[in-house]
Amino acid sequence: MRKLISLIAVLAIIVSGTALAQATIEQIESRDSVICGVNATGLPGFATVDESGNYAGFDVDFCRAVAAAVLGDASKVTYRGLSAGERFTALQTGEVDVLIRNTTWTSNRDTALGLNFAPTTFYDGQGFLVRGNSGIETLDDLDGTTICVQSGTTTELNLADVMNANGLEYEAIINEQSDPLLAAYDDGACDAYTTDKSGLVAQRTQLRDPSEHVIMDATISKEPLGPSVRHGDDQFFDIVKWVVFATFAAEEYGITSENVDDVMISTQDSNIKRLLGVEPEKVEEFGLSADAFYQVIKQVGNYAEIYNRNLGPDTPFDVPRGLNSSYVDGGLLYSPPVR
Amino acid sequence: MASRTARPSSEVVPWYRNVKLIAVFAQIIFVVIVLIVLAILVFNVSRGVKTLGVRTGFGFLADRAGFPLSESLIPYDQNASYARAMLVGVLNTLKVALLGVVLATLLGIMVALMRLSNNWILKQIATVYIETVRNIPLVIQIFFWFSVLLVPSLPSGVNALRFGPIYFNNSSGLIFPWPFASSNFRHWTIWLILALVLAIGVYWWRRRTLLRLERPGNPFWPAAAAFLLVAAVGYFIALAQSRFPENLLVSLDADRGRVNSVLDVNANGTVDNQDTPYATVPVIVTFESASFEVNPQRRTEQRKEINSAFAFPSLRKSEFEEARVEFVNPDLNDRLSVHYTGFPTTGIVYEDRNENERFDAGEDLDESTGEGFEGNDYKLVLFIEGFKRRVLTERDGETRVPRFDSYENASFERLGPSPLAWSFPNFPTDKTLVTGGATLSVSYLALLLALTFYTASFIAEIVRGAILSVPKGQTEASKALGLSNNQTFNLVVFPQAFRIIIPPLISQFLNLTKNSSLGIFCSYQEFFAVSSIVNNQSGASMPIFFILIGGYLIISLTFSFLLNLYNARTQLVER
Ligand SMILES: N[C@@H](CCC(=O)N[C@@H](CS)C(=O)NCC(=O)O)C(=O)O
Repeated sequence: MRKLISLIAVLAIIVSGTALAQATIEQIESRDSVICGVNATGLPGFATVDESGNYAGFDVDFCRAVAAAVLGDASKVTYRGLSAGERFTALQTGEVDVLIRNTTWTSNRDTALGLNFAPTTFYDGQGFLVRGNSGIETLDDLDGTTICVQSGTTTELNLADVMNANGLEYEAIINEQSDPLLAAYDDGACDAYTTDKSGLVAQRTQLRDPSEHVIMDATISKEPLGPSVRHGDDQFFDIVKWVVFATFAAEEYGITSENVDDVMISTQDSNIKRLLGVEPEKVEEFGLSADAFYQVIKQVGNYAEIYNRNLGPDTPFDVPRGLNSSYVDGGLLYSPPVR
Repeated sequence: MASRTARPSSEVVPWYRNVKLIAVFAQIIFVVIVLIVLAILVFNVSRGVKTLGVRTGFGFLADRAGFPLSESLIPYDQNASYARAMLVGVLNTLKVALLGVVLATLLGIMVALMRLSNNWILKQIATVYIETVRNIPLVIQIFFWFSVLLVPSLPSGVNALRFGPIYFNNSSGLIFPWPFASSNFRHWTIWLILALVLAIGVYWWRRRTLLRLERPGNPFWPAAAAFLLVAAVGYFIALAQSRFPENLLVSLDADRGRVNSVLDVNANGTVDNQDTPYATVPVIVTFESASFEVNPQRRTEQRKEINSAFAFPSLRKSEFEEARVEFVNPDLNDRLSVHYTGFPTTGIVYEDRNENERFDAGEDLDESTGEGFEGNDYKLVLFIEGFKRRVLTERDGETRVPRFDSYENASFERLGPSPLAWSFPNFPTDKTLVTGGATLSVSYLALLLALTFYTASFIAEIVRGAILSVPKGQTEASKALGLSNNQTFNLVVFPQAFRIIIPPLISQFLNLTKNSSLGIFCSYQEFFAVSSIVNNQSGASMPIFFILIGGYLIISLTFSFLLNLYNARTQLVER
């Protein structure tokens, strides 16, 4: 029913025509909190809640980074758990300020759905989880299987296209929520469960016996995941974009939450001075206080710190960085200059 | 002072006290207010839509949907339009609602009678059922049927429960043989129409005769008999007229495990892209000999366990002449033996330690303790001689046959055309996709059961109340006339109660239909679930909202119109 409620909410907002009159940044300042849409049921490594209601994860850290930049305090975030089906309506209606929920950047979402995407924070691709003893190893082995897939995602679209292109017959079991699907897969109702590979790594840990399941090698799509905001507020879009870039740049320049204070005093690099607001003009052009990006790095960390904290070798997931490395290390993370 | 009551009739009533005028004014003012509110709404909607960049208009309906749907009464794939996807949703809603109202009514009446009966146990069962089911929210019941009962407790995949040609598992649901209309069905349609007309005629004639003779009886049975007779005779005539098209091309691809049937449009004698699929061709596929391999051990990523139970794909007894399971490594045949729990496809591998050539407890591998035979890396192979299976090509002109690991002399034989082509479940050889037959998915069953049980608890109370409202004197009078208990109920009490039942029953039917929108909670793709997928993929929330409102309105109004027609006919005509 939440789905229906949010649908009605769109109508209500459209009808009343208010809510959107104010700039996002003013709304955030007046309520003293950033409302951030994250994964509802919890995607370990990306967004999870503990018993006392504290959120943690890769996506959550970017919510905190936005709050650090806008309000100077990374803890001033109100989280909204959203399912795949609810997320876009929630953003369109202003129920959340920013959506950071393992959401793939696609042309359709950028245009028809009225979203603006900040730089990709995690380059992902769609894969399949199968039982180790099923004998399913390649895409062709998926012929004649039943596959569990979440609706309202790019996942269901990729699945349909790839299976069709390869002439493979299958039956999809579709649900808007991932929990019942994962349970159905665990109960043997589907031969395979498909979603972004990062999601597979995380959700495999929720199965009864994770070691019985393997992630197939095949990757069938490009899933650039990143934060998004709604159309119509360029200032806020710029801020979210550059909060992400700031984490990339900080890694590139070797600035971490530990050494940022020292770097700030000692640095002779004017790139770093502009980023950290030692020379305040460039940061103030965003309509933020000069220390906005300093606060992001100080309170949340650079990209490498965020990554390692949530997905790195010391976590149960240990996802190799791959494409998610700085361009200096052969990855795709590249920040334009602050200038 | 003039009396207030005795106003001279000549005095003109001032306009503001003229009741008729006031009524007209009130209506005009009301209409004006409504129009103003509407205008504000329309203005705001169009402005809001512009700022948000949300899509309006219904143009998106023609766009390619791109997503799969798991069940559909009409051909659908990801290349179909959003409009077609929504139509699939509407049909799925009707599919669950129509059967749901029938089942809920039957169950409701049964429970009402149980509750009214003099049998203490029946009475208590009915009361407990009504009081619990009626008071638990429907969403929870749907969740219960789907996620707690059906999915976890049904066997998965190839281990399906089997009752003859009927299979039941948690991946596909209930799979059973079903007659599909082939292209030769048209020869039979004229006979079906004839049978229907005749049946209606018989019904009216029988009804009039019974009324004239003032005798009890049901005109339905003779009508049904007339229908069946004509339809049956017609079927055999249609069968004789049935033909396959000249350019029908059937082929077997045993390596891929497929049978194809197409119309060879370009007449080149081979199946290619230009040929059009031709459905419902019955074919018997034969493999002189074939074999499958399975690995009964549970292989896992980090560790390897040995599990001595094995399961090959299901085979029906009638499908093969001979079969046996052996170890791939011949050395193991001396040490280990096979005990069948379901010949030849399921069983247990054991070590015959006491050499009685029988499987005894403890001779298999005990999974919990790891005791029993150890460390054997074994693989089993199932050899089959003379495998035969009857299959029917599907809507896309294709059907699956077992894809054996190795086989010899695969061939096929085309069976003759007929108006109805029976399709039997072609149970999969290794994975879970079932072709052939008809399927009621687990999602559908869960929603159907939840809606039926929930609505029946309300219907039961309606029926009970109506029966109790028939005055006791009616029963006593019937008894005095010497009618039996059954006759009293069927001829006197129930017909009177029926009139009271109908109106509230209609609203229960509508409730059930609207409640089917909770199907989203058990992965059932009904109207609302499909709409929300379309909304998510297209971003056209406004138009979809109106389609939803309009759609449910049309479904409900049609339903209540038809039922009210019936209601009007059953009510007493008072003079
Ligand atoms: N990246 C894809 C898929 C995102 C998605 O919904 N992933 C699933 C599986 S990892 C998920 O987060 N499910 C959790 C939930 O919906 O609660 C998209 O943007 O459409």
